[in-house]
Amino acid sequence: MNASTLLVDPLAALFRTELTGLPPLLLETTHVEVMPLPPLAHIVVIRTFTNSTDQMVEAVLTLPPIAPQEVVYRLIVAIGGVEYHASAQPGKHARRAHDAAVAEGRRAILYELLVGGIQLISIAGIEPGAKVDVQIWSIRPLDRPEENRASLTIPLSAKRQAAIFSLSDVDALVTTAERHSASVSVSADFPSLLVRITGQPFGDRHLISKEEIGVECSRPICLHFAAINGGTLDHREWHVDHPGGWEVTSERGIETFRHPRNPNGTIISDRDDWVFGSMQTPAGEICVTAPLPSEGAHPNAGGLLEIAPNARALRAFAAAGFVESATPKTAADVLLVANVLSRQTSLAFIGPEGELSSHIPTLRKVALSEMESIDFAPEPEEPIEPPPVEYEVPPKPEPVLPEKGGDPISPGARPPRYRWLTWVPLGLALLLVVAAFQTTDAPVLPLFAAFIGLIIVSALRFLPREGSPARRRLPLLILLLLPWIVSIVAEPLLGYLPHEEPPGHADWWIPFQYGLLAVSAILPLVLMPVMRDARRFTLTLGFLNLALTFFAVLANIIIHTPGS
Amino acid sequence: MTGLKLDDLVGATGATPRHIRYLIAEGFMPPPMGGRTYATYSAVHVTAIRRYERLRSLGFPPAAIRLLLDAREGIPVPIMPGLTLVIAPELIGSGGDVATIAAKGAMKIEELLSKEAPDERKHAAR
Repeated sequence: MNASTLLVDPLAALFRTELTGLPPLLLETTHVEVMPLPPLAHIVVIRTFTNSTDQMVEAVLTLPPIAPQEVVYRLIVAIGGVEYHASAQPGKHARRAHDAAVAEGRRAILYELLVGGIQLISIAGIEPGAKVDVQIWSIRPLDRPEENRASLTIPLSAKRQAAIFSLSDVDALVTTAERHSASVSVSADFPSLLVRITGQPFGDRHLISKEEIGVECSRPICLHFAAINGGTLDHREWHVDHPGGWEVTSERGIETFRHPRNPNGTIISDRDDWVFGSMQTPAGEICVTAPLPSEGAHPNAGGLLEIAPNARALRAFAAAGFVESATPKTAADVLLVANVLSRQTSLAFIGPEGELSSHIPTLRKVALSEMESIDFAPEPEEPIEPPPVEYEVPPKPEPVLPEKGGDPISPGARPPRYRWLTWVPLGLALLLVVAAFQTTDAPVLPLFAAFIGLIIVSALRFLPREGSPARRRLPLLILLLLPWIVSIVAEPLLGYLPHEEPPGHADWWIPFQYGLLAVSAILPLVLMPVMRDARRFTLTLGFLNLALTFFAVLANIIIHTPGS
Repeated sequence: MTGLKLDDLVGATGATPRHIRYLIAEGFMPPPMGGRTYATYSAVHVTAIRRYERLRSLGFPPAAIRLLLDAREGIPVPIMPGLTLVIAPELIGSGGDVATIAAKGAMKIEELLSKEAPDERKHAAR
């Protein structure tokens, strides 16, 4: 039978539906544990399924894109009750090792981010009938629609045919109309935090700590948090007075990070066991100083085995939003040490050779439930406090603050005190000065004095905090004043002030004035390396001094070349 | 083309190893020969992967590809409105003398669409 004889009705096949591919494995349960650590939330999602086939399989679970600024830092897979912990590895290396292990018939787990933030988990080596638990630990910033309110949405399902066309079929999302059991529990400091769940069939409901409630897996879990009883949705805590300590803050205006062995703020650049990072979030900037590898390791010099949950969360968070490190490592290295999933790093586990009794003959996709489209009820204007719940609350230990000269040292820099003074009014003030020069007969020197006052006031908002090493270097900034002072003090401007005749021409004079202008422009840049922690202050002064030098030079040249 | 290792197959087709495992599991291509330790692939696997990718690029979903391959029916490929090329699945991605086949196809289309009668008919009319 040759090919031409097979050409019967070519369109008929497209309308047949009785033949399908291998059915996907189905999720049996999903449990979500949320620990709000305002302004973040620590989330653990545990999905369970069973290899319902009669073969050893590789199960591939594709999840919707990772939430914005979510940091996944742990994957634990339990197969038949045995836990396997995945560790961060460079992405390409992890995928090659995974493929090689599957080809060799070894147990292998790979959690990677694909294009568009799509999450893919491949678990190879699941025995027939084995139950599989997939735990994903992550940190997410809470959405902050208002100062004292926050929300968190956790989808458990995906939209039907949510195809990502650049993905191959094995990587694509697979959904099913089947429903499975799902639940959520929230562990929170409830005396100061009010937690409410919405969007579920049972309507809006307030939660109590660690209460496990069933939810509809096809609907996203929508949690709302409100600060009550004087609580706050920001976090600030520091324990930098002993080795192994840590510091976190979500307050704005933090410009530096402290070091546990040098609480005055100087960061030593040769440390390899700490991460210093900050990240801009919708809820503001979050900064962290936290140890990297101490968790699960031997006790450190301070006898601390493990850092606090919030520091651990922020450590991973900061590692992903890495801005500046006090270590000689690169950001990619920090991601590896902090075990963070990213486009560059995957979480992987390779089992030992000979662990499995047979090879892995087949691959099965694991299907998510189809997302149900629902209409959310509008949120109430004010949170409604539920009736009080009787439970015991352990006393919250007060942080021990390092002291210097009897005064507790607060972390970071002080918040700006002159928020009203921004660049816009400064620009307007500059225009006013120019206009004053042009339109008034006022003496020049008082105008200059007013302008200098404006410089000082505007630069104050960037003034380094007290005790900062940058303060000791501030006298260097006097250099910035020199160009325009020299330009004014020198002839002919001063000589011309009492309305005398312009002085005579000198060939070197105009280049000299232009030289002063150039020096004024270059000086702030030259000072940048030595004015660490006061660079914005230096830049502000430099810019305004440049403007002042420009006016002085311009006036001199006009006087020097009348009629030009 | 025989005795290909997995890396060779990946290099020849551009498919990822996971995608190859998927195609084998779904029955779009046969499993390798030689067992898991000495797994080798051949031109059959290369052709199968290329055929699958070509059909996917034409917009056929995996289930439709399975139907077409299982039913051994011709696969319709739209050329233009009113003109569809029907091709046997075995020929897709198989290579061969493509230029000669294309010339024959062009000649046939020209013959069918031309306004003038074919030479044979002209001769018959005389």
